[in-house]
Amino acid sequence: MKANLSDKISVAFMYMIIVLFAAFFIYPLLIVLGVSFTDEKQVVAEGYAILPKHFSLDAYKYIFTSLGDKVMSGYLVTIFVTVVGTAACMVVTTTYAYAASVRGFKHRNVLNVLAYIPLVFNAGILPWYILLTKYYHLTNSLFALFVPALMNLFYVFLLRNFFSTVPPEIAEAAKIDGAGHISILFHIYIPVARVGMVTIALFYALSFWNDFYLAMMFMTNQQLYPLQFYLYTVLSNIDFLSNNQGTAMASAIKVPLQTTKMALTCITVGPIILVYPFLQRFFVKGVVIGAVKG
Amino acid sequence: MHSQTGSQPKMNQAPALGKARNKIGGNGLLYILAIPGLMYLLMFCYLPMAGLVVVFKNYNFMDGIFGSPWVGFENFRFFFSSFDKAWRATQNTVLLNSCYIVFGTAISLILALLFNEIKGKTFLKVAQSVSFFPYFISWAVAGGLLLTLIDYDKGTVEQLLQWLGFAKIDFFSEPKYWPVILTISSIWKFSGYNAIIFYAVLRNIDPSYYESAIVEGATRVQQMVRISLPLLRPTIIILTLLAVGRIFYGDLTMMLGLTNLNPVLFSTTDIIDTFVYRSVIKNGEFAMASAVGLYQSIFGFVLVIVFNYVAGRFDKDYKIF
Repeated sequence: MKANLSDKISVAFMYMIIVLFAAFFIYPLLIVLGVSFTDEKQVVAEGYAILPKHFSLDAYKYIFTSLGDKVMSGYLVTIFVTVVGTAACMVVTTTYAYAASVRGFKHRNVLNVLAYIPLVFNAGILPWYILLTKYYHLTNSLFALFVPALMNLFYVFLLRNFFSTVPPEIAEAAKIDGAGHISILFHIYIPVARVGMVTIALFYALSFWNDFYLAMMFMTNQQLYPLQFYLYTVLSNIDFLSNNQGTAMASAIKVPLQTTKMALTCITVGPIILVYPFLQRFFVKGVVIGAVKG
Repeated sequence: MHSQTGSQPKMNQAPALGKARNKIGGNGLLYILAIPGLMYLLMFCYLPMAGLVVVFKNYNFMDGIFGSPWVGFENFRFFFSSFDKAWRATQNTVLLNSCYIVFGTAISLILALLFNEIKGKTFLKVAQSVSFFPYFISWAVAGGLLLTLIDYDKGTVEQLLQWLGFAKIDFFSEPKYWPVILTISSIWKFSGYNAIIFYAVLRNIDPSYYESAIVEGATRVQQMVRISLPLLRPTIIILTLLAVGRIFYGDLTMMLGLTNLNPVLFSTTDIIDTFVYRSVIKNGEFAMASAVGLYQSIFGFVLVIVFNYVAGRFDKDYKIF
């Protein structure tokens, strides 16, 4: 019984620690959300706080009236890159992983080695940057936002491992029934590797949604900034919003600098919060499988 | 490998020639399927390696990689002449990565152990979701979040310091605090994710271990320390080994998002990746950057190979390649 009491105390203690951790993880998001709905004057006078004493929608109004077209084009670029990029990545990754997994294919080891070398050795950004800008002319091209990231080699190997769990007899039987590689891939391998496919697709999509590195490397035209990069330029350039003031339709509008930054942050995170509850399940499954598979 | 065709039952009427053609046609399709991937590898992985010849050239944008004049080892001389900056970047990279590995692993372990002890399903789910969530946030957004915490005039940490009666700290002009800030940020973003990996291992532990421990009268904490932790050991060692293998590689977007490459902070935040990025993109110091980039790649390459080999010796499943 004594042990039971100490157990209860330690469990209560554990709950407390988890709550503290959760607060640490979620607090920055809550405060950004709170500040974005706060009156600019209060923020300037009293600093950031989670609960707005003077509720205000000024920041969002400002974004939608003065920055509306930039936020909109940012969204469009990001959505385009996420959708097209993820689809393209899945095609390239799946076909390559399949070819590299077919037993009895003479050159499958060549494919594996070719995908393995860049995993451990890369040339660094300098030759890469020169090649992409000077020879492939990717500057200010939407291709620049996903083509350089078409194939994540870790995912190729992950998917190949999934594929090689398919018993060879099944593929053999299908072959005897007259199935070609395409139908074997679509009707046997992909269904078997479904969990892996979904996980990898989600990871690709997330990386495209969050990417601002490629944009920074290759985009000089503001029209082509994806959302995250637009946010980055706003946050990193203190004068960015105030420079914009001149172009605001009514010069009487005073730019709510601080709160606008926070509102923009919320707008950028927004869609992820909406899909997160749905995605989280898959991610956890995928991470667990990834952990077990290495 | 080849025996498959041989072991296949001979189809009654199929002529051998047609069968052979079929096989070639089938494998031909495999080549076609691999083409997009091969093109990608060639254009974005292998040609840049060939582009490494710029290390021995006096690169200028007009003449390009192959037209620029050769200078031999001139660039390396230049590299050693400003060795102090490159050395500082190397030290920072290794130091910061070490902090991430040590503290990040510790925190995610604690989280996973706690998750494993909690029986309330809803509570557990919410807690996991919340701790996993930062993994979904880009570094650009994380930079915005960090601002709300440590902004000199308005940040939460500043308000807290004042409330506790301490002097405010201008974090954005004090490099010495940044290893801590960056480590905490890294923990914030990744520990929920890593905790789930550890948690997955814990879920697979045979429950009879715990049952017999309870019969023996072990407390919760004793179970955690004596059963859960030792059984996690292989996973911890392997993940750490793999991370150590990548200790020369930094996260450029993290530094961009959080520090915005503020020059005031360089003494503790300039890592190899930011150093090369600045040299190339901002200043056009191609020569210097190419030498540093090459040296990072070579050291990184050796380390990855060695530690991956060690991890593979430890547990075959964890060998990446």
